Amino acid sequence: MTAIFGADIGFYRAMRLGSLEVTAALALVAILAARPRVRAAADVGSLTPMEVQLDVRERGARRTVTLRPPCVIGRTSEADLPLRDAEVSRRHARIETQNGVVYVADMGSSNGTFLNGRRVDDVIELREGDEIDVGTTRMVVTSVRAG
Amino acid sequence: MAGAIAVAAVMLRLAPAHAIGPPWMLGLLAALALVWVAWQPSGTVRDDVLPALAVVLAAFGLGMVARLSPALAQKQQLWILVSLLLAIAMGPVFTHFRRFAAYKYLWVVASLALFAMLLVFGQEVNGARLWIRIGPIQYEPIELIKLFIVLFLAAYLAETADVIANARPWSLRANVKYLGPLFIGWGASMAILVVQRDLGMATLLLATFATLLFVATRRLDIVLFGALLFALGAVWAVHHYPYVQTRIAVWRNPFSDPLGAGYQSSQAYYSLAAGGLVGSGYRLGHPEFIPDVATDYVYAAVAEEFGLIGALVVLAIFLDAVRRMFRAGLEQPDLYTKLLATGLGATLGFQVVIIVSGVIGLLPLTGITLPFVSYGGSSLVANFLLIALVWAMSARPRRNA
Repeated sequence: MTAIFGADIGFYRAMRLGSLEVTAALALVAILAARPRVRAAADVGSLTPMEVQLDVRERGARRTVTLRPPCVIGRTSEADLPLRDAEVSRRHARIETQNGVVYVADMGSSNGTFLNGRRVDDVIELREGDEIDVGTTRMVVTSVRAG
Repeated sequence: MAGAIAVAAVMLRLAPAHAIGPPWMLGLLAALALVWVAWQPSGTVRDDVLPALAVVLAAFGLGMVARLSPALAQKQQLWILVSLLLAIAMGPVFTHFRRFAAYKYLWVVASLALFAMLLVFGQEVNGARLWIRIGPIQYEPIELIKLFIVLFLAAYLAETADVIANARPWSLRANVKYLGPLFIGWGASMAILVVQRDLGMATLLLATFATLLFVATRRLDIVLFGALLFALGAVWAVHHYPYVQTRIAVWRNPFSDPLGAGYQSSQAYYSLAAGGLVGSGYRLGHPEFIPDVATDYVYAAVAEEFGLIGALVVLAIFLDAVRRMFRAGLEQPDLYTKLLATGLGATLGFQVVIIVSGVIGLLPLTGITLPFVSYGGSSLVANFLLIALVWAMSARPRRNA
């Protein structure tokens, strides 16, 4: 007697077991995928306050500024580091920080942001001694430290 | 990814043989999935689990669709093929996703162009005009518009978030200046969505918009204002579109008209009930009594055949995916990437919430797809591209050489 109510018992058993296997496999995927990647969760997105000191050389004048990322560099007076340079976009570049590392990112400026002479088209780490060029202004990173 | 393909094989081994295959086709799909993950720029560390989750969900969906409608499963298989090919082809472009920020108005223009095409060439299905037909292919452009709008919002907010956040709520000039472009871009799409009568997508876009705006600026007043606007729009829609009224009446009492308007919904509740804790077993239940089960109600079919446990496991996989997308954003230093990942994660998450709530009766049903699982080529392509983009964004930021 392989059939009850027209259904094949072998088929029924195979499908019943198979479904449990599928559920188990999917549950395994869900559990494995829930495991965090590489580092502990506390390390991700942690906000270590940082302080960056820049030596700004703007049209012959020199000044030293201290920035606390995240901050904006641009021509607008609302920028954290306002520059009076016609070749700088109003909101030109951002200094960002993540896990105690400081990065520079271009904000889609017209004339671009350059780090040590190379155009920044993604996010690049900043270290002491690096030169950032925006428009005709050069900024030298004199210190990067936790602040 | 190899694990994902193994899980896919466990799933698809049970599917009716005439609905999927031939075997070389499945082999090709598996090979493409491997190529997708293997082919990334050298020296980068990416979150490879994310594409693997997409592949597992798509394989699971293919199995469900194969069991519900063999004809649709054959088409679904081709759409998965197209999605994987597109995801692979877009890989090198997505690697430079930060350049997308510079072209933010291009996304608005592209969205409007798609809307215009929809108005001119659109086809009406079930009272909503959603489809463009190009030869034998039907495409639902709203799925792509969803991505474009997030790309625009993330780029715009990354530039202006701090200004919006610091503007005083009562300063009309400051608010209008920076919020103006947002509300024009968003309002236009919302208006057209209401005209298109696709309230599910309108809700999804609004939820994504509100999330992004709040995450970027922490201005609750703008978010509440947007929600109020949407509530007014929704009330207007209820009064002017009979089909929305029907949806809400069915939601409040599906058994008042069990053989008419409430048929689909009440059959879905029977399915959910029949599933119980562990389900009837794959191919042993009868979800085919629900009309449109492969698109709108696939979650009811999952709950019937794999039970509460199976349905929750599927939700857990979605939760993992969304969490990984948010994490990809959190690990990035720049605001644009953070916002983009948040927005894309929110889109996927809200889409799951809206359709699953619709199926189980928490919200009125709106006809959007369950990402990757439902039958629907437009949705598959858009969601695979979404995952491919976030996967590229999960790369560790470059150290200074």
